[in-house]
Parts: sequence; structure tokens; C-alpha cells
Amino acid sequence: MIPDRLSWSVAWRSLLRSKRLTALTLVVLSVSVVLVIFLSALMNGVEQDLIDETTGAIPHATIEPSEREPAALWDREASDSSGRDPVYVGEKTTLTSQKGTLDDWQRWVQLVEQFGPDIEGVSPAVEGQGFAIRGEKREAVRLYGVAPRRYDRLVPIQENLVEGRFYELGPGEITIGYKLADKMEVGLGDRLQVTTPEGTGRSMRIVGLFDTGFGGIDDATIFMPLGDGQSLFGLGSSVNAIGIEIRDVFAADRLAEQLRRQVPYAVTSWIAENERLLRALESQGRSTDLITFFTAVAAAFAVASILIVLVTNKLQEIGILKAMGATRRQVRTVFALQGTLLSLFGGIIGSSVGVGVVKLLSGLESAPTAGGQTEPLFPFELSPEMVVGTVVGAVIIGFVASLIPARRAANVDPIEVIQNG
Amino acid sequence: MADGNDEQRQRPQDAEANGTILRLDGIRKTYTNGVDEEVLFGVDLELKTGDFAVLVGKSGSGKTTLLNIIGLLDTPTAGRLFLDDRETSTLDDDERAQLRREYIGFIFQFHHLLPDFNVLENVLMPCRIRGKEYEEAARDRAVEMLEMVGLGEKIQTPVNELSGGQQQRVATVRAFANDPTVVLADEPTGSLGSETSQSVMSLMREINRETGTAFLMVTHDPELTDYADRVIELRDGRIASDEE
Repeated sequence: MIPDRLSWSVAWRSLLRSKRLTALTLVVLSVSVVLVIFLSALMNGVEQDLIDETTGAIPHATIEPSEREPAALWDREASDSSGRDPVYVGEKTTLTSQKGTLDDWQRWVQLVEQFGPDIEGVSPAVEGQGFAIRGEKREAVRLYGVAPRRYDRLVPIQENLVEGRFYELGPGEITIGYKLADKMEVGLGDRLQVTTPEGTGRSMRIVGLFDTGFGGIDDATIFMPLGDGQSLFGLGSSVNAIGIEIRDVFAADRLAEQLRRQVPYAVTSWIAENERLLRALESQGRSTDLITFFTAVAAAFAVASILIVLVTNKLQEIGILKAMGATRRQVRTVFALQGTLLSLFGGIIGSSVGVGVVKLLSGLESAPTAGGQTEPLFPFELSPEMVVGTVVGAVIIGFVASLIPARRAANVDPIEVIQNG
Repeated sequence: MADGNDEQRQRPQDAEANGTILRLDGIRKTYTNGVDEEVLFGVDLELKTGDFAVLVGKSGSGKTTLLNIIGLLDTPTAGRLFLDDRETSTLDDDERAQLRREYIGFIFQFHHLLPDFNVLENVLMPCRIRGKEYEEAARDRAVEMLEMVGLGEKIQTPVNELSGGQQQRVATVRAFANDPTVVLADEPTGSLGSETSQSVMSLMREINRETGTAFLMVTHDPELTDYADRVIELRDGRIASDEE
């Protein structure tokens, strides 16, 4: 259905002359496109935001010592019951001290680093619960012994420093969240007593404060050099976690699965631990698709019905053209072209307005946090592919919607319209 | 079937010999709207190059139906129609459309111009339907013909700014733009005053003499028969008389 000069000229002139119908169609199409772009940008943004929020402060995948499963009493063989091994009765717990260690961690870090270009960071760490104590104040905290530059690729601390430093942590030095510092009423250069639940502790000097924007980290996290962590938790030269950052957060499950086959430890991914969030995002995505679909259907019906009016208005001219020898295909092309042109212009106008609105609203920011960080009020995520895709979708809808009116036009019998004068 | 082939083989020589460009052979037309209503009862007719014929008859005699069949806008229930030696009854819609744009020019009772286009574009529309190259080739001739009918100054004017007479003159010129073999006109002066009617008729006659284009015009205005070389009278779906 390649339009010739006749189809172009008839289609174009009649759109120009039917100003009201043309304008009405353009408005309907533009509004639909604006709606789809606005909604998609917002939903993508919210999804991206939630995922960033969820994965920003945790490794995408973690290699950990396998938890020791307590053996059920009834699984023990009769001969053992009298024997040497003690029997524990109670709930399963995972105290840090019981958690076990990764002894040959250098080997596994190397293995993961060579896993492929998608690996963005690998960070061995000693993690555990602990307390920060200063005078009368005592706060439960999470202690991390890390190699700062490596850990920074998992959770960006350096760029979120309010003051002080993180990269060059020396022995006995710690970097802590600004909210924790507020609670403890300490600042840069002050000392904190850091202890494990087992009671091991030492006094450490604060050399950096950070504000990541993640509440859980900013108000209860203390970073110290890896060596200090190892000695604090009595792990010797071992660590108890290897955190992994990958480019595509949704590939974490697959990576964990692959690693599980090669590493003799437990490998967890953020996806497995955030299934509910992901399911919520999925159903949100589905409802966005549904809204987009119904918007498209509504737009298609609008275009089709307006084109039917246009065909009805033009019956006589179509009859004349056919009497003069225009083929059915030429007549069909006129109206298919009108549908396509209308939706192309509607798409371009709509996407321009849509992108404008999104840009305008994404300039609005929420009130700043205590650390001075601000966040956009609407977390839009707008990609050129999405905008182009919406326009292309609109054009396809316009074309498809025009087919019924075009068929109707092609079927006009010239005799009837000519005789009716 | 054998007869048909023989006929087709012989016809080109016949056509060349006597200049026949259109031949109707026992054309019948029955409308079936619940009840069968027969309008044409076996019409035989020939039209030659340069003919300027008028088809007359009372209303309901089947004039317009016959004209529509000759113009390939309608199909006969029975009988055959040869256009330039081509049998047309087996052709589909688009093939008939193609023949229309190559062989036939129409002038309708109401001018039926396209309001979205100016005078020259309207005249060239049959050529545009055929293809860009035909439109370019016909442009000079179209302007010349418009000058001939006194519309040389108005070739860029939108057609709805013209008077009724001017519009019908544009429609007349349009019928000739594609250099057709036959021009069919249905009451071409029906909506015009007598003075304008005469000028349109003179124009048709002039073009007919100049180009040799055959002409078949339906009318029930007896005055217009004065312009014709040949008057064909249709009565109750049959040709009652055909006089030169």
C-alpha cells in the first residue's frame, strides 16, 4: 500500500480542509500519548527507585558460610543417642559467632571477579552485630570490617561522605553513619567503644561520617578496616561474607545459581530475599501495561470513528474519484494514509508535550534530608526508546484503526453517489 | 467459445475499417430489489470515432442505466460490451477502473468537482489517478483548454469560488484531460441556465470536432439534439430509433 501522488494529495488536502475533525483527532491521540508517556515514565521511575532503594544498601548477591542445620532428634540413630555428641534442643539461631567462616576467601573472590564483565564489584567482609558505647549511651549497631575501596563498589560510601574519609581507614579508625553520630552525640575525631555481643571490644576513633540516604545504614552502621573486623570477631585471617555487585540487578538470581555450583558455601541473591517486593513490582508493571493497552484501544476507536465520519463526509468525492478510474487500493490508501498521518502528528505532539511535562515535574524536589540530600518528588525514568516506542505504537494504532474506514471507502459504489447528486 | 474467438480475431480489422470504438451486443439489465425489474431489454449499439450522439428518452426509459453500463460503472445482467475490442463483462472492479481512466471521460449532471483542489488540479485529476507522468504530460493541454473556455485566469482558483456555469465548464474540460476515446455525459446542462448550456454544448462540440473524441450524451432537452450528428431514442429499455 505505497501511497502515490493521488493518495497523498487527497489525504492531505482533506485533512487540511476538515480542520475540526483533524484537530479533534490530534487532541485525542496526543492526550493518549501524553498519558502513556507520563504513566510509563512514572511507573518505570517508581520501580527503578524501589529497586535502587532495596539493592542500594546491600550486595546483589552474597557468599556466606552455610548455616548449620540443627539435626532433628528423631533423625539420630539409636546408637548415637547414648553417645558422644551432645544433643541441643531449641530454636535455630544464627549468631555471628556460630555462623562459621570463609577460610579460603581469596580464592573465591578471584573466582567471582573472573566470572564476567557483568561483575561490578566483589568485596570480602566481616559482618556482625555489635554495640557502640560512649559514656551512658549504648546503641545496637551493625559492624563491618571491609576493604573500603572494594566495599565502595557495593554501597557507595565515599561519595556520600558528609565529612572525613572512608577510603584510607587505618587501624583503629571507623567511619559511621551521620544519624548514628547524632544519636551518640559524637563527631569527627571522637572515640567510640565498639563491642561484639560476646563482649570483645575496643575503643576506635571516628574519622568519617556518611549520609547514604538509606535509613538503615545511616543510623546503625560502623565501618572499620578488614583487619580490625577480623580481630574483633576472632576470625583470624578469615571473613564471613563476600558481597557481589552486578550490572543487571535482575541477573542476581542467575548468578547465584551459577555460583552455587562452584562454591562450597551458601550463595544468596537479593531477589530471593525480596520476593514480595518483586511480585508487587511485577503486578504494578502488569497494571501499567493494562492501562496502556486500554488507552491504546480507546485511541484506536476514537481514530476509527473520526475517520468513519471523514469517509462519510467524503462519500461523493470518493465516488467521483472511483468513476474517474481510481482503484479500490488507491482509495484505501487515502484513508490508511490519513490514519497514519494523524497518528504520526498526534504521536509527535503528544510525546513532545509528555516529555515536557515529565521534565517539568521531575525538576520538583522534596525537602532536603539532614545530610543536605534532596530527592525528586516524582521519580520519573524516561528513555528515548520508550518515547520512540510510544510514537511508533501510536502510528501502528492509527494505521490499524484506519483500515475499517478505508475498506468502507473502497467499497463506495460511484453510481449511487453520482446519481444522488 | 469458438465464435467468441473468431469474433475477437476479426474485430480489430473491422474496427480499423469502420472506426468502431464501442459496441454493445444484446445488453440486458435487471435490477433485483426483492422484485425483478427489467430496465434494458437487449440493446445493440455501436459508437464510432468522432460520433457526437445524443441519447434521448422519457425518464425511466433506461438512459442513465445504459450510460452507466457503457461507462463501466455498472455491469449488464446479460450481453456483451466491447470497448476498443476488449470484452468487458468478465473484468473485475479494478480492471474496469483501469479501462475507465484510459478510455472514458465523464461529465455528470452536477459538476462533481473535488472541493479540496483548485481548477487546474481538478482538470488534471483523471491524469493524477493514472500516474504522475500522465499528469505532467497533460498539464499544458489542460491549461490551453481552460483558456479556450475562458478560465485561463482562474486555473489556481479553488473550485468552490466559481459560478455554476464555470464549474460545469471545468468539469467538461476535465472529461477531456486524459485524452479519452469516448466522453459520456449525463444531462451535462441539466443544472445550468440556457445561455450557459449553450456555451457548454458549443465547447463539447468544438472539442469533438478538434480531437475526434466520440461523444454520447443523455438529455431530455430537445433543443440540445440540434447539436448532435446522431440521435438515439430509447423507449422502454429498447432502442426505438437511431438516426444520423
